[in-house]
This record gives sequence, C-alpha cells and structure tokens, in this order.
Amino acid sequence: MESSVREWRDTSGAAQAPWREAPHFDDAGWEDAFAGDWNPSTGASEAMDARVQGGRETFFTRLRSFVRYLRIVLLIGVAAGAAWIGSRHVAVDNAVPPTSSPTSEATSDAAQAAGANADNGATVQVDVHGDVRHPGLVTLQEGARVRDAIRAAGGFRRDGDAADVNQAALVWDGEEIDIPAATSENTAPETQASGQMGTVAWTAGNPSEGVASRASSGGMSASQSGGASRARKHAVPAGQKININTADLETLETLPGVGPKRAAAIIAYRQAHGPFSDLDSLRHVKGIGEKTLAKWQDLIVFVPPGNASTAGHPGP
Amino acid sequence: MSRTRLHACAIIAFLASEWSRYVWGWRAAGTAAAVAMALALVGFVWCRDRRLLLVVAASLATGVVAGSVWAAWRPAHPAVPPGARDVIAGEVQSVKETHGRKEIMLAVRGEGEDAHPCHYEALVFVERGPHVDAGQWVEADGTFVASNRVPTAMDILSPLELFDGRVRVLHRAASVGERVTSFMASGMEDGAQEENREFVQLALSMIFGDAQGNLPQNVSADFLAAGVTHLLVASGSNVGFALDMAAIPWHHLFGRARMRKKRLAYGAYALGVIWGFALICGFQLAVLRAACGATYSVAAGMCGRRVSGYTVLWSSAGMAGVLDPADLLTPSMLLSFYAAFAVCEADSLWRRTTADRAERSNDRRTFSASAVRRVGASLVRAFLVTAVVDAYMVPVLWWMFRQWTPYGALSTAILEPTIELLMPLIVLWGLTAGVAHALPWPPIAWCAQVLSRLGCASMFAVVWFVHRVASWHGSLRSLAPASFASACALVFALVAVAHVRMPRRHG
Repeated sequence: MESSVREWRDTSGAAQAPWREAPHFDDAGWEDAFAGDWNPSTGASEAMDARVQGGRETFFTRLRSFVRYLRIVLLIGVAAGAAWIGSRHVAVDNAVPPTSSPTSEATSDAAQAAGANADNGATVQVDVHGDVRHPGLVTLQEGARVRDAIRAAGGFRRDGDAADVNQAALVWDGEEIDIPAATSENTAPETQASGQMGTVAWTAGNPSEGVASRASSGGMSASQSGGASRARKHAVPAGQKININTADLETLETLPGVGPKRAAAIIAYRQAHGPFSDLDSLRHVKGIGEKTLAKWQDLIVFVPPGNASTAGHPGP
Repeated sequence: MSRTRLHACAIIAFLASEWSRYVWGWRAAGTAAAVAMALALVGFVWCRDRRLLLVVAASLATGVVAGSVWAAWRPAHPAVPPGARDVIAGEVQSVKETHGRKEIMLAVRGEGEDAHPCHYEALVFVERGPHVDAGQWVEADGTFVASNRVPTAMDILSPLELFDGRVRVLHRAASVGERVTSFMASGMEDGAQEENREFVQLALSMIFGDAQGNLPQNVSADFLAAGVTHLLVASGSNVGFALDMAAIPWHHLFGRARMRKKRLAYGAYALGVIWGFALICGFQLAVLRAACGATYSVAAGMCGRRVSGYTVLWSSAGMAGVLDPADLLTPSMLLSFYAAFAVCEADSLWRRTTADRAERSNDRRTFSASAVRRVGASLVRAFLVTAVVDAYMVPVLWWMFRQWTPYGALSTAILEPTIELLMPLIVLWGLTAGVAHALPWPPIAWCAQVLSRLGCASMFAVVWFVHRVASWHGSLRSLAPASFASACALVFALVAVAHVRMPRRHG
C-alpha cells in the first residue's frame, strides 16, 4: 500500500511532469553569480576568433568551432550514462533473488504507505516473446499490464496480433508472456501446453484470449508447432499440491503468478517466521493478495516441515 | 554584490524561514534561520557587502512572520494525534485500488466537525465505499495512523498524513474552470464522431491540462512512455500561449503598447488574462507558479524593464511561497521549479555555444541559407535544447519516479512545436463548437464541423506518433532507487559541466 503515493504521483499525469515552462529570458543574470571577476573564456574560442579575424577560416577552424558543442554533448552524455547505469542496475538486481530481511517485507500496510514517498514502486521482470519486435526480458513497474510489457518489447509485429491478446491483464514478476502470431484464418491461437501437463496454472486474463502467460521455472516445455510460438511453462500437475512450508524456490515458481522474486520472498518469510499455518498467513508476504490466494487455494497444502514426506515437491 | 544575487538570497531566505516555520514549526524555523545567517556571514566575509546581512536578516524575519500567520490560519498538520477519531474533507487528487482496498490521495482543506481550514495532504485507506474520482470533494471519517518508518527526504519536503476510515462524496458546485471546460468539451463532442471523442479530451488537455484524469489510460500511458507527459499538463508555456492569443485582439484594436499609459493598460489586461487562465485551469500548481512568473514579467514590462529568466524564476518562487507555502515543495511544484531552471540553463548554454557563430553567419544567412536549412537548423536546435533539458531532468525524475525515457528529447523536439502550431486550431475548434452548441446556425455549425474534423485528424496524428515512439524498444526504463543526496550530486555534476570554464590565458 505504501507504494501508492509515489506511484500515483508517478502515473497520474497531473503530478508527473509539469515541466514545460516559460522559456523567455533575456540574459544570463544568474550566471553572473558564478562568473564574478574571474572573466573566463575558452582557449579554443580565442584561437578561433583570431583565425576568423585574419580571414583564414579553414576547415580545421570550422571544425574547432564545433568543439563548443562538446559541452552540450558531455552534459547529455553524463545524464544519459548515469541513467543507463541505473537501468542496468535494475536488471541486475532483478536477476538476483532478493535477500532482504523478511521482516521488512512484511511490514504493515500503514507503515508501507508512510514510506511511499521513497519507495516509489517496485519493478517486475517479464519475459516477452512470440510475435513482438524485440523479444526478451523487459523491466516494468509493479502493477504494469500486458500491454506495457508488449510495448516494452517493441510492440506487436503485426497489427492483427492485438486482436487476440488481453492487453489489460496485470503482469507478475517472473512471468512469461507469449504473443501468438495472428493466423490468416483468424483462428484463436493455441495456448495450451504440451501433452501430459495438467491444467494451465494461470494465464494473464483468459487463456482463450490468446496470451499464454505463466510462471516459468524450468523443466517441461511446451510444444511448438505451426510457426506460432508457444509458451514454455511449468505448472502444478493436475491433482497434485505443493507443500508451501517445504517447497523450494523452483517448486514455488510453478505456482501461478510466482516468479523468482516472489518465491524468494515466501522462503525468506518462512525462514523468519516459521511455517505457514493457513492460507491467510500467506497474506503477510509482500505482494500476495486475495486474488492470488484464491488461485492458490486448490494448489497448496500447509504441512509442517517435520511431517512432510517430500521436500516441497508436488505431492498427491 | 549585484542586485540579482541579493534578490536570489532574499527570496531563498524568505522561503526557507516561511516554509520551515509553517510546515515544521519554530525549532525548524530557528535552525533554518541560523544556517541562513551563517551562510550570509560567510558571504559577508567573502564580498564585504553589509547589504547581504541586512537583506537576509530582514527576509528571514518576514518569512517567520508569514509562516506564523499561515500556521495560525491554515495548519499544515492534523489537529489530533494518531489514533484519535477525526473528520477531514478535501479534494481527491488520485485514487488507486489495491487488494480490494482504495487508497485515496486527498488534499485536505477542512478538518473536524466544524471543518476548520487546514492545508495538508493525506493518504486515506478505505475498505469499501462509494466510487470516487479525482477532482471530487469527499469527507473522510476515521483515525489518523502513525507511521513507523524513518522519514525520507520527500517525506520531509512534502509531509503526508495517513488516515484510515470511510469516505462519502460531498456535492459541491462546479468551479468556473470546470464549467468552462465542460461547456467546451460538450460542444466539441457534439461535433465529433463517436469514435473520435477521446481526441476532444486530448485537445483540451493540451490547453488546460488533464487535472481530472479524463484521458483514456492507454493514451496517458503512451505519453508517459514517450516522455511527453508534460504536454498534457498546463504549465508555463500554456500561460505564454494564453498571453499570445490575448495579445492578438489588443494589438488589432489599440496597436502596440509603446506609451506609458498604454503599457499600463496592456499590463492590466495581460494580468487579467494570466489569472483568468489560471482560474480556468483550477490553479494547478504548475500554472500557479507560471502565473506568478508571468505576473512578475508583466509588472516589470509595465515599469519599462526587462528581466532575465532566472530572475523570473526566483520571483515566481517567492510569490508562490507567499500564496501557497504548504505546496511549495510538493513533487508537482518541485518539478515545475526545477524544469523552469532546466529550461533557463539549456537556453543559456545554447546561446553561449552559438553566440559567435550567429554573429558571424548573420550576413551570410540572408543570401545563402534556404528555408529548408533554416527549418533543419531550428529542429536541430530544438532537439539539442530539449536534450539538455531532459538531461537536467534525469536526476529529479530518477529520484522521484525511478523512470527514464531515452526518446523523450526526440519526441518533445518534434511534438512541442507541432502542438504550439495546433493550439490556435484547438482554441478555434472549442470556440466554434461552443457557439454552435449554443446557437445552432448552419454556417457556424458547418465551420465547427470542419474544424472538428481537422482537430480530430491532427489529434489522431499526434496519438499515432506518440504510440509509435512509446512502442520503441526500451522507451520507458526503470531505474534503481536513487537517494536525495545522489540526485543532488548528479545535478551539481551537470551544472559543473555546463558552467565550468577554462581560465583566460594571459600574455
């Protein structure tokens, strides 16, 4: 809940960027404060002026005049470089499972809101592939939708692709989004995973709407046929349940809506507070809400570690 | 010490003492005054100018008095401690729904059963209740919640109270601005086809801003990703545009204001236009600041003086501080001030870079430069200046929003002049549609229809372009968290790059 303030200030247009300002001014009076009696000047400009006065404006002189633009280029480069490094850090941070204290993850709603001014929205990473221009990992703000993920991946390759995708669905960290190619017959794209897999754990929106979007964890892969890419996926096999108190990172990732970050958060909370007793106790883990729990209620069990027969792997 | 510097020092001292007294009380005001006086003393030792000490001391005293008056009139904090029941009322800034719970950002303007005046922002958590939209007035009944987190820099600059309770919508008469814009919108929507109605809101947002959040989510998301959200917010250039539009009939009727009396009359007319426009925009913070700056410029013009951009910036800060100290350091206001500073910096840097070349090429240009070349040069200039402004904006947007839009400079350089060209068309569209709505005379209706088609087509082109840019790979990048200190360090680095020069070589 804390994330709210910055996020709104972030996403609501009014607070976002009122920075187109009156650009009329006549002299650089403020600069006088810096200049003082120092009377600065660039050596390059002096050299250039001397040559111009002498009427010998050569190619090199003109070239030198462009050196003045170096300051502008440098300024833009410093800012862009810093931002680029900052964006790289986000990617690296997301790639590494978080090791933060679980107590900080499970702060109360009110406390979260209080810190919203600083904590302006976590990011999520989503793997987008299929019929998009630049398939691959994209980083989005938490609360982003499938539409944002597709746009971050360069947009649809063909305009017809948009017709089959529920772009309004929310995305989860670690999710895999596969954009099926629009077929000439305009048939609904195939979204189910291969053969022996059980029910699709979760899709962004409605499976029939064409986006196969699942939490991936390695292991089984979906079939690929007809030129249209399919989602590689892992899901809890039909009829089997995961023991949330013993499941490891990979197993947790098979739950719908769970990526590496959320799986790590569950484990960290479990290590700090002991086993989960019921569905409600999972609410304390950051990012898990009612909707998520509703999807999990038939997929997880709460067996204390001592009584578990398998080390968290799906059991009957 | 020059008057410009004294002017800046006086305003900084006034704002520091007023804001700290009003928002954080006597102790903060004392600390701010002590630090300001210490700095003034250092300045006095450096430049041996007694006026600095006097000006700073007077400004500090005035600021403390102003802050105390504000604190007594409209307290900047709740009257009750956390846990005690209270009733607050105010205007909804934005609404977010998470986990079935609404989080309402409220600009609180009344507190208690008697609704005594106050001025602060609260985040209201509501389990269930009526549907609430931005711009509505609501009353919340519940308790303030204490926060157990260490306050961040933004928490100190712009305090936010937490409130848990229920809300009910208050029915208030629409403001003048809302009535004007809704009249224009209804007229424009009547003339537009069903599928083009979203373009009406977009067009109006470019003139008056989208404070109510009427734009479709996908359009605002595209503008955000393309780095041109500022085009949907009323700000300084909108005030300038309103002045330009208002100057046209004046010049036709009375000619240019060269005589003193005419200058005074035109100044009064311009001030009316500025504050009328601010009223229609609902006194959004960016417009308020820009109106303050424009007022100072117009007042200087009435006295036959010209003022620099930086002076206007300082003055607008001072006036905004007098009019609304509680919102002085809110994110919107901070962005507005900083953006104005970035524009001043970018223009100054560009003029220093090209001053000599412009002088040398003045004669040549009349003979050889073609129109295409001039257009190309102005586009390059627009791009470079916008890129510098964007570079200056990076630290602040990083710290506040953790976002970066690498293509923002490009899209702004293309869209900003385009939209400036479109603004007269939008105004004409709105006026004819309004007249046709009220007076359905066939020639007017026909004009409104033609303008509506033109307007919708141009808005479609803008939306198409923005969507293309937003779809480019990595158009909206998330950044790692940045502290206030690191953002300041980056700003200083950029200022250093822009201003540090090699000393002159003698001999």
